[in-house]
Amino acid sequence: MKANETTSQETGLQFFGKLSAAVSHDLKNVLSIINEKAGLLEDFCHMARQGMALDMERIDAVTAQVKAQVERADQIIRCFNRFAHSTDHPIASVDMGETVTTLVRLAQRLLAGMEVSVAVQPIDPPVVITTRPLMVQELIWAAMQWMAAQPGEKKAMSLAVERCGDGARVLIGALGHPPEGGLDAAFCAATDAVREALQAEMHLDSASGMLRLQLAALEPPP
Amino acid sequence: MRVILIDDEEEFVATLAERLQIRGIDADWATTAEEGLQRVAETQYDIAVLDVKMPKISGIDLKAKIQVLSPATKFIFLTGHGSEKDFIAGTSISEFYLIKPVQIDDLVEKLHTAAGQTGTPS
Repeated sequence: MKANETTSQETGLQFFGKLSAAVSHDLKNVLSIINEKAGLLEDFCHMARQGMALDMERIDAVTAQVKAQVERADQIIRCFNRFAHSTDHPIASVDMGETVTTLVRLAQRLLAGMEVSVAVQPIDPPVVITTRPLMVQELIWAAMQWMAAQPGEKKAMSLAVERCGDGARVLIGALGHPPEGGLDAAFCAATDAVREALQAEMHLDSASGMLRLQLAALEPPP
Repeated sequence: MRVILIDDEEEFVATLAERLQIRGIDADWATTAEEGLQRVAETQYDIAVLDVKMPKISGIDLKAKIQVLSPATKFIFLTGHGSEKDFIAGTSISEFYLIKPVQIDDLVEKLHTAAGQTGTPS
C-alpha cells in the first residue's frame, strides 16, 4: 500500500469519526429533551392526582414539542444514514448538492463550535459527478475548517456547487471577510493525499476570498 | 437553594429548570456562557449545573469564569457520553457529574449533596 493511500485512509477515518461523534452528541441532546418533556408530563399527572387542575393547552404544547424533537432526530438519522452509505463504494455517482447539504446539516454542531454558520446556495439543476463519495466530503470539510480558522470575524460562510465540464466546482466563500494571504503549506500538505485521489485542484481567489475546489469526473468502476 | 442551569439546548434546560421548580428548587437557566455569566454577576447561586460540551466553551472553562465571579458556587456537570465522563473523572470534579439523559431524582440528590458540602468538590 502506498504511503498516500495509508494517509488518506487515516484522515478519512478521522473525518468519519469526528462527524459521527458530533451526530451522537446531537442525538443525545434530542433524547435529553424528550426525557425532560416526558418527565414534565409525568409531573403534571402527579400534580393532577393531588388535586391540581390539568392545563390541557400546556399538555398539548409539551406533546407537540416532543413530536418536534422526534422529527429532529429523524432528520439527523436520515442524514447520517446517507452519510454512512457514502462508504459503500469507493467510486460512485454523487449528487453534489445533496452531499454538501447533508454534510453541513450533520456538521452543524461543529460549525457552531467554530462560531460559523454556512448557507448552502440552491443547486439547480442537480450536479451529479462520478467521484469518491466519502473523500469528496472530507475535502470539502477540510476546506470549510480551514476557511473558518482564518483570522478575523467569520460568522457566515457560503457554499455553492456548479457544474464544470464532466466534473464539478465547489465554491466556499467567507462572507465579508476573505482570508488573507494564499493557501498555507500545512493545509495543502494535509489535503494532498485526498486531492490526489479525487484528482482535485484547490485555488484561493485573492480578490474575492473564494476557495474553489475543482473536482474531476473519475472513471466509473467497471 | 438557588441553582442556575447552563446548557445550549434551550428546550432541555428550560424544562429541567421547570421540573426543579416543581420540586421546590429555585432554578434559573441560560443557553450561553455570556448569558450565564451575566446572571451569576447579578445573582448569588449556590450551585451551577453546566453542560460539559457547549459549542463555544467547555463547561470546565465556564466553571473557572463563574468561580471568579462567585467563589462559593458549587458545580455539577452534565455530560452526554462516557468519554466525557472519563475526562471529568480525571479532574478534581469527579464527584459531581451526571450523564444525559438526566434522571431528575439523581439530579435533585446531587444538588442536595453539593449544597451540603463546604468548599470546592475535589
